[in-house]
Amino acid sequence: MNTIIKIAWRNVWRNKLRSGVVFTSVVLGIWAGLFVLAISYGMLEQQKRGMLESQLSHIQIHSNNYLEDVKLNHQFSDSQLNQIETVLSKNKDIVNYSKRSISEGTGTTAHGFSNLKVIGVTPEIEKQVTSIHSRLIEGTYFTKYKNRPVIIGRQLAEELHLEIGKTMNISFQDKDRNFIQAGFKVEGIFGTPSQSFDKSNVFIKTEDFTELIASQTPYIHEYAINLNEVEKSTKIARLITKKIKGSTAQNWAIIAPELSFMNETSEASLMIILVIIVFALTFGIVNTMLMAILERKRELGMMLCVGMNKQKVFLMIVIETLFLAIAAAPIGLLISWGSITYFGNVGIDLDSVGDALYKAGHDSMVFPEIESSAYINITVMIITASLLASIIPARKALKYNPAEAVRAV
Amino acid sequence: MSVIRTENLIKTYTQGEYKINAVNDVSFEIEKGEFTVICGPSGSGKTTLLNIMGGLDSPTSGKVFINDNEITGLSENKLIDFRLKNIGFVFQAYNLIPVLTAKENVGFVMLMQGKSKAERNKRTEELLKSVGLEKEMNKKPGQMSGGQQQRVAVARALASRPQFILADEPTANLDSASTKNLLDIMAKMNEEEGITFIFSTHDQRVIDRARRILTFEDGKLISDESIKK
Repeated sequence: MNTIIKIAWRNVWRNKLRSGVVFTSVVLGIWAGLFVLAISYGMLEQQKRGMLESQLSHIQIHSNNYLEDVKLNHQFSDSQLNQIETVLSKNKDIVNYSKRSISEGTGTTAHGFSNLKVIGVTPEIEKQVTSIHSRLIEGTYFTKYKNRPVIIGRQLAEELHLEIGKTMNISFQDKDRNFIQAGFKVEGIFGTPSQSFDKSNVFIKTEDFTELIASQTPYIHEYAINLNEVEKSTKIARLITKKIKGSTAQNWAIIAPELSFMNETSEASLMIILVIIVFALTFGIVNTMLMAILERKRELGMMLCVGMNKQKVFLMIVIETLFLAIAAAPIGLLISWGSITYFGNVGIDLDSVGDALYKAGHDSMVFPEIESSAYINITVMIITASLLASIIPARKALKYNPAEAVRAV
Repeated sequence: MSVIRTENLIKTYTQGEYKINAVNDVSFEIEKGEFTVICGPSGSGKTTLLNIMGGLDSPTSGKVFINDNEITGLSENKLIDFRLKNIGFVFQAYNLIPVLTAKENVGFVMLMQGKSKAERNKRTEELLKSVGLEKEMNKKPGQMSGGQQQRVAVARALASRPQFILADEPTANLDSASTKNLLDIMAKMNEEEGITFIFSTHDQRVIDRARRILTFEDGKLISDESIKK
């Protein structure tokens, strides 16, 4: 066995140029596959994180009435609020949470109008749950104006020609279904990777919201909760739902199924890209090995003549193919790891296509990242592909008639 | 007892409408320790006969016996095993494995036989010494002359302690000095150790050293001449 391995390994180096071309293609294939995977995965993760941080959080709780019909009057009852507070305070996996008042409304300026989701928050608490305060591209986060400040998205600001200090009229129905309208001064403009979020969400203080709907107490429609680990969200959402009556806790994947779906489909499509790259590499390896087998016809004929059985000839070709493919794999993996780690820290500036990325919900600064399983997956794929690739040349070698092969010119 | 015996061997090739008898009703015996040359012009059937005797090809009809064991009709796997244990091959183009050293090339067949490393090393060194290549043991074929490579091939053929050695045009690629040197080594092994050599050649230098000459023409054995030296 050792000699077969030795022959196979030395055969790999017989034609250094040819093997070098295959090595280079394997290194580039692995690097290209993993780097593209890392860019795509990084963009997706950034988008997911962005959405979780800026709006979704890990879990949200709503009353069942609100889930069935989004109305101002479908807020939590006092008993539900007490029950939820008790449950949340006892769960050690919950890092922080905020309560939100929500209403559908319209924002109007002299330049036009836009349908809005008006979200009433307690700024200091909301800051702990979502990252809108850190995504401000202009202005401040509820610290400058005392009288009805509003934080808006950059897309809305562009469409309604709003700037810091300018006023936008926000209108919606109060608890008695009366049409109300009030002027809000723009204090901050945020920018998330999502154009649609930036266009349709505005944040005001809960106290202003309560005042506008002519209520004595806040109308709470939503709890936004962050956990110590996002992976626990399904389990904890289920636990919370069991313990509260008339309300339902949902994790981010349920609240934003398109995000979860996009995550899954992207993973599948990226895996397909990887498979295509490995498949293309396989053809290169098959071609190289077929050429090698053809060149060594006489030598293989001799081996068969002197009594090397077909299983050993087959094994030798398989090992040689495997060496040819996987000897380059560690280099490819190392370069991939190095470049992904480097660009994962400094980022890749795609500002030239920033508008397109913004419309698609992505940041223009991309930080490639990848799960460690991807390195294992591609290694397994290369090994599997080279094993499959070895079958054709190995079968070809076995078909040689030793008497003819040994006299081949 | 004969080492090899053929009985009414016929090998027919079909080319379109024509049938050609490459070997035509050939019967002979070769005793242990013979130094036999199979000669004849190109197309006389020497190589086909050698292939059949070596279990690399099967006859259309007739039988081949090695030590009274019939090999015609054996399965491919059994023939491979049979060749490994009983026959040594020397080829015109040496056919050494270029990535292995002379020592590794000689040990290759023993490795296939499952011999231990110690046994392989001992015999390999003995054999390479006997062909005068003790200083070239660690050289690869590319670092040796044609004559040296063919001597390694002879050592390899002997490594498995075969019943006989089939040498197909072993001197065709060698100069006169190398040919003489190789034939001297083979003749010495034949005389001193009783190793049976069967050559297929039309090289007069080899024919001159033979003690028995089987001459073929158009697939037929036309003469069987023993020469006293």
